[in-house]
Amino acid sequence: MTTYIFNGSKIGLLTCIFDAYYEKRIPNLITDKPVQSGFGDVVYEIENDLEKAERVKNCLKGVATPNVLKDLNLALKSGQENKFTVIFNYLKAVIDNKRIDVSKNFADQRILAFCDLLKKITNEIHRFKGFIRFEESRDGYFYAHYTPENDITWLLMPHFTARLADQAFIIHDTKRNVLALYDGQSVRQVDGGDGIVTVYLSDEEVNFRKLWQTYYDSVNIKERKNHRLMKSFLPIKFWKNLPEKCVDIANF
Amino acid sequence: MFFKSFCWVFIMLDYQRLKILTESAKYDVSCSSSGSSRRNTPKGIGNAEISGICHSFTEDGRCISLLKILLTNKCAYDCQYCVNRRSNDVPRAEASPEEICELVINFYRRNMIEGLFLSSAVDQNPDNTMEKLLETVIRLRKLHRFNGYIHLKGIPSADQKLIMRAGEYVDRMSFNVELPSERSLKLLAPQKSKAGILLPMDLMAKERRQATSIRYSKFLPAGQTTQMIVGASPESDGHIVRLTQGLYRKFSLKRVYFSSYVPTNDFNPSLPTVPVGLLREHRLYQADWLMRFYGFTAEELLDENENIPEGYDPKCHWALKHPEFFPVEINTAPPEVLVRVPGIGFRSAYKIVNARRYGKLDFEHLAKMRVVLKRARNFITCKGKFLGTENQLIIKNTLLLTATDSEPFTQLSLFSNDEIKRSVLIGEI
Repeated sequence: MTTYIFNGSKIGLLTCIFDAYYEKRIPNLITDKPVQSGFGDVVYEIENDLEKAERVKNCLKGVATPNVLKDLNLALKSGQENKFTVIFNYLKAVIDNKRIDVSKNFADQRILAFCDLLKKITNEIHRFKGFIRFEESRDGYFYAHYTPENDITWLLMPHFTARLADQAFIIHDTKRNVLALYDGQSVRQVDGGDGIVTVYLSDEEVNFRKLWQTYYDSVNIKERKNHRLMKSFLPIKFWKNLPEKCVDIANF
Repeated sequence: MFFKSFCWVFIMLDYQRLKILTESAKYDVSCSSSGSSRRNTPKGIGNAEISGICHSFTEDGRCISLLKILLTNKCAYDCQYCVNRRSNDVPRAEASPEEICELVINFYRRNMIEGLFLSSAVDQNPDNTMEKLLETVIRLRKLHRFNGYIHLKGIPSADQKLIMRAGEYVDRMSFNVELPSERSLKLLAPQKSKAGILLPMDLMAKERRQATSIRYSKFLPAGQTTQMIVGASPESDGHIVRLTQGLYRKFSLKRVYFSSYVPTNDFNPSLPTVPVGLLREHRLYQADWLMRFYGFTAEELLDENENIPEGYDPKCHWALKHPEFFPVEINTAPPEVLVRVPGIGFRSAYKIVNARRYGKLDFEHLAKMRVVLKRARNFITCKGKFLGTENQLIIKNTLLLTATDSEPFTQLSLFSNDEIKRSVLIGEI
């Protein structure tokens, strides 16, 4: 088994592709984490190389499959463990069939896996458009925290800046400790590092939380209880950020 | 700071009234926020997303997308099936238009909702009620510059001018047909009339068609819907799907919602005393989808007096009645034929049609594309191969089995029931 280890950046991945073709050794596994190698395994460490990456990028611009670079950028936001291998396999399928649009060949496992990867990201974006909850702080801005599986904070911002254009808000990804800030005009991304974010909520916030909980409980039809269906739409992992479900978590 | 919170107490709805007005509104099934792509305006708040967004899900598994609320539940009517009927002993409340607006804006800013679903009991008379609904909507759009989604319930028999005016401000409007036949309507909702419900629906459909034929219009961008109660009256499923189809064709509705009857009142001799199973409602929705997206007609699905069998879905029901249509060759069949195969839905059909351009498909490819082969294999061939059986009885049994075993990964034990044992023996699990 051949394994490539690199630093996890886009340039690094493109360099890996260059090396795979140039050295004629196709990796079975590409990762940015240390691996436990087995007997007979070969592990290569790939250094970033701008020039090589540029050549692969140019190559990808010329292929018949549309939106490769756009899809690549989106796929890199994935939080899936084997994402680099999935992306590599897809790009290899694309480069090997330069003259054909392979993006819809769903009989090919490599393409299907890549489509599933993208689908997971876009699905999560769509879900969090609904499941993010803002709370008003004492200073008048709105704060939301959540723990997405994929790195989607930046991709969520256009949606919220369009609809809450007049409202200053922060979306905080507590898993990666990344914050996206909007002040009413421009958007900015801040890496929290090891810092801890503290927000003082406004006095009204408790009331709104209670109003919302009242609404949530009242709109339910008890005679039609279907807990399983609810959980399939709203898996427990989302509950911790939803005021209406926090109570349930404690009782669960 | 003090002044702000002082004001707040006066404008905002209190918990009790919110509870009463929501509990009275919850039997309206529709809560979708799709179909409109209204943009935000400068200095405004909100927009509408074409796909709709769910913000939460209630314990009964329904999506919460809009703030669903009544202006008041004090009703002059006495519809037998309705929780808000005049003669029912329930707590009554009302909210002012401004209170509703404040609540919507504040929930919206916290990303709890997509917008408002506003309805009302008939307070005094239809015109008076419609006027109040209209006032709330205009206030929200003009004063609060709210551009989120608004679904407004129309009051039957209200002044047409009021109704048409509301259509210019809201995204979606709906008049409930309430019951599947005029006879049942007369019996259970004596104050409502068929004409009072269908006339405004027709008017709005015409206005919308005209408006959209010119260019993108702001008149009801998300169209109209309606709702009927299933199981409170004796109509058959065959009758209901025909009515549904007629509504779609005549009024270009976006959706027809079914609500299985839940007893909400004291004992009433003209109504069933037990709730109708949710399965019937589910099967009707399946039939509804088949008519809207899969190219089935009501006549194909069911005979006039027939009910949908509860054991399997209406597509399987149709497939079993039409053995001459099958088997279908995966590699050559057109997409509209593929979607008629039980176990192949729209997504699988899309994948099949695209993938077969690159090469012939086999069963293993279909499995990877998540076609439900358990159901599909009795109706398809791949490269001429057929892996199913032609014995109708066995097909029926597997369909029944796949429809009922909602948890396919059961740990087997010595005391497993017969059904699971059988499925193990024939290699299903």
